[in-house]
Amino acid sequence: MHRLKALLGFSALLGTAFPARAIPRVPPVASYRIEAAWDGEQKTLVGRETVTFVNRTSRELPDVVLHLYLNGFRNTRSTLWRGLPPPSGSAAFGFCELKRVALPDGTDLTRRISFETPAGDNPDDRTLARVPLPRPVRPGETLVLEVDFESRLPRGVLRTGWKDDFVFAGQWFPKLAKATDAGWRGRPFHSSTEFFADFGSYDVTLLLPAEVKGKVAVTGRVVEEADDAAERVRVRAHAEDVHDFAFSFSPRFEVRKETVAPKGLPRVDVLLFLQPDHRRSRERYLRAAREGLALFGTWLTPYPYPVLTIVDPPTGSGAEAMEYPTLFTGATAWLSPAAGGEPGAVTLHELAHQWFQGMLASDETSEAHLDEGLVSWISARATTRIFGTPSPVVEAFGVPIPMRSLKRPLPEGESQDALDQAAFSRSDPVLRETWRSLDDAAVRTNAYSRTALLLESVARTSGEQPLFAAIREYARRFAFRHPTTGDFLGVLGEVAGPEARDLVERGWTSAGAADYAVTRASTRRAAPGAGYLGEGPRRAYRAPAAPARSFESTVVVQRLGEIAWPVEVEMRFEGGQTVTRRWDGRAEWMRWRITGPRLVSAVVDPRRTCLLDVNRLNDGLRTEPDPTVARAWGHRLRFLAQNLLELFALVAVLPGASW
Amino acid sequence: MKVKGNALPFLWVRGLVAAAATWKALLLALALNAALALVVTAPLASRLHDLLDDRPTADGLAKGWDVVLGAHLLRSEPGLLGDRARLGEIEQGTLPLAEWPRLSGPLAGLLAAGFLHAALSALLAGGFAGRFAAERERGSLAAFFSDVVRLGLPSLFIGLVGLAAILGAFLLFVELPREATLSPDLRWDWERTGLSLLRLFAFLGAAGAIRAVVAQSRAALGLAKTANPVLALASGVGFVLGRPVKALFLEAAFGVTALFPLALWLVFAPSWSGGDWRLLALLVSGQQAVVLLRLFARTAHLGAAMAWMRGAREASRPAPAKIEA
Ligand SMILES: [Zn+2]
Repeated sequence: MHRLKALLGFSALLGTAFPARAIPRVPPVASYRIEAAWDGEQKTLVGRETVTFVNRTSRELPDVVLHLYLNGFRNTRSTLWRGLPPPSGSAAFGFCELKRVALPDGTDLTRRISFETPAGDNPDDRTLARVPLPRPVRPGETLVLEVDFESRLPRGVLRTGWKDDFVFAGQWFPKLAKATDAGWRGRPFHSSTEFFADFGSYDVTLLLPAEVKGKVAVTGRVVEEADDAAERVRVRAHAEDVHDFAFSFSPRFEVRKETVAPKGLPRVDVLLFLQPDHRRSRERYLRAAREGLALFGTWLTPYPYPVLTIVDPPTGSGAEAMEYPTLFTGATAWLSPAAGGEPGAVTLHELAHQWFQGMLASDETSEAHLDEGLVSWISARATTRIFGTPSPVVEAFGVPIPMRSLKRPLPEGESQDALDQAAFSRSDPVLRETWRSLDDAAVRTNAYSRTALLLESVARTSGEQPLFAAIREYARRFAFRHPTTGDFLGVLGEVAGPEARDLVERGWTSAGAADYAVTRASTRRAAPGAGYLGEGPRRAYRAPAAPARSFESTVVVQRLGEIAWPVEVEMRFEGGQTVTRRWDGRAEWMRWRITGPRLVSAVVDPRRTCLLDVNRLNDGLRTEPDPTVARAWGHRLRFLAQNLLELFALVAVLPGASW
Repeated sequence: MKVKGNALPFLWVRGLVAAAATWKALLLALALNAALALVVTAPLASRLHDLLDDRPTADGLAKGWDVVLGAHLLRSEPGLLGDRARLGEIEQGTLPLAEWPRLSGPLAGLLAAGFLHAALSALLAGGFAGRFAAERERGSLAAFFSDVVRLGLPSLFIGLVGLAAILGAFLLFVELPREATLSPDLRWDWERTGLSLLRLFAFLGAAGAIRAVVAQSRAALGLAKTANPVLALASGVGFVLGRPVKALFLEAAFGVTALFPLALWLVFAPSWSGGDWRLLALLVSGQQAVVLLRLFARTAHLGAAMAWMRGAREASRPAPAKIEA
């Protein structure tokens, strides 16, 4: 705490210098100076970049590997397109073309370029290029590359592209893969995975249509904006200690700026670029940013940058809900009801990425759970804290209708897909490298929902304070250092204890489910002992007698799922007495025999600590059936059916079919 | 009581008065509706007893639906409501009309019961048409049944034509333009909402018009000397085409009359958690009253259609000339 305060004082002196840092910075590895001009007709960005790479690995690098992400949209043969719907026209396609790659001395490397397919499964993919160098870059050496490129953005899909006059440019420039001690780490662009890159600084100059002056959202800050010839505006942006650069512009943006200074935390300029038809959501966006910065600043580390930009994309732009360093996109709609919790929840989710994706920058292509999972859990906590528990929203005929009488508790209410996956598909454990997962559903459920449920379960089992403390220490210790699953588990074990670590490992290494079930709950009058009792001369025969007043009860709990979890078993007896037993949950089953009052029911995990349990209904059993609930539903169903039948008589069409 | 005049409020009142006279037949229709609902929900209700009676963990469902517990229930019993994947599409409203016959489980049962109920209601509508056309014995059940025998099948025919037309309108206005009105290429959100609502209102308008034609055709059937459904349909179409706005308003007036008590009930009625029997008795009576009012409003529409058609015919008939005098 003390150290943090001292650093905060220091950053306040720096004012708006970039960045206001409470976290020790790391020296830059991959920095870019880019100049690019936008052609609104062709939807292209034509430009040149100067890449400055410092080899901070321990090995010589004989070549460089570049990501040309937009080539994922080049044609339907790309690896990316396997996860996309069929193209709807020429606008669906995009590309990133290397025109010239050269060293500063003029050595042209363009002819040496080859395309990589590390898994060997798709020779047609053009998203990963290898450029052999005349001589290797040794550890500590700096390499400068001049790259001329032309990028065409597709009609917005998968986080990037345009819609009408809205443009969101993500993954738009040739970008170095991540340099590691094992060499370059780069993956062809998959539809279900994201990114991994080194930190550096970005100095980007864009030539854009004059009408978007003042309406350009960037990673970092716009430091210069000047009119250029031919109705253009020259926009220069600068960002430090970031691993990517995205920008967006639209003449329709309504720009809001607000300076947020949470108590005891650095000041942050929050910029909101809003669609005019989303005005109703403005205050919810800003409130989420304001209160989220304060909350995450306390739960994790202070927000590491002086500026935060929120881009609100138009509906159907394909750019919704995506995070980039210091900038993210939200998602909302004209009539989005406040009771649904949006865009608060999505804003808090993307804001949390500023720490896990932006600052920690773990490998999203292989270990997406470290980013999306931690983000899903912590943003669910933040959403509930700030906006309360949301209600489900159904949309009928373009009108969203909140079902106010229902609640969708987070993360459970939005993570049931993970339990379906664990119950029915079981295709991949979380720790399977993300890009190797069977399908998008496996990635989504594992990285997001399953990890969120797992962490919430650990918080409820081993205590939420230790878990928060561990995640805070993880964020502090590995800021700007690209931590791995091992790093996270190490800190977790160290700070939250071996049980917490063990539980997370169990949830991450299995593709299956947790499922505890009470399979027997019986009770009968205890009979006094009968037969030959006593030994030797004391042996005496006692005839079976009438049962006593007390009861003998038996409860059996079985572990039906692969995942073991420590659970409580609560046994309820006549007269209101309850007995609670703890079980480490490891064996296949556990039996308890209790003599006392009549057993009424037994429930395993009555406080719902293990949210990975796929079947909550079998968590309990009564000794005598109680038809109340089913009766209530029978009654509701009959009235529903009566009204549906009458509707049939009227039009002979069910109502649900109409939206 | 006799109310005269063909203005909308008068027609509305005349419809209600006519329907009230047939209260015995209406109670019969209600009994049919309730019995069918009981039968069609019985398998699901009994399955719920199997699943929930032993489970104290289901107590969270007593007061009403619970999003998380409900997900657990449907996961542990994927076929509970029928086809799990199609259920999602129904919820989204994206299940194509052509897929409906392929539903399984309780949903398929409901669909079948729905058509059966629609058919029975159409047969009974023949009886109502006969009674409304008659000057006397409007409340007589025996006369009602003889009208069902006489006019039931022609009325069913008219109902089937109406049903086909409404399904066609659904395809035309709701299903075919769905993609276009929800297109991601629309520039503004309000275009999307506006076009979608337009889709809904176009369908409601068309369905209302078809309903009006069905009602006027049944009225014509009742008034005609021969039970020819084709002639009745023709005169129903002709009648509505001659007065489309008023016919739609009449339809809408009875639609509101039918749905208003239901809306009140849904908003204000307490929920039964399965325990208190006196509350259950009270709730069931209230619910039957609500359904009866819906049946009553639907029948009253026919009564109003009849009064209107008869009034219009009387007004257009030249006064009989007394040549012989
Ligand atoms: Zn995310």
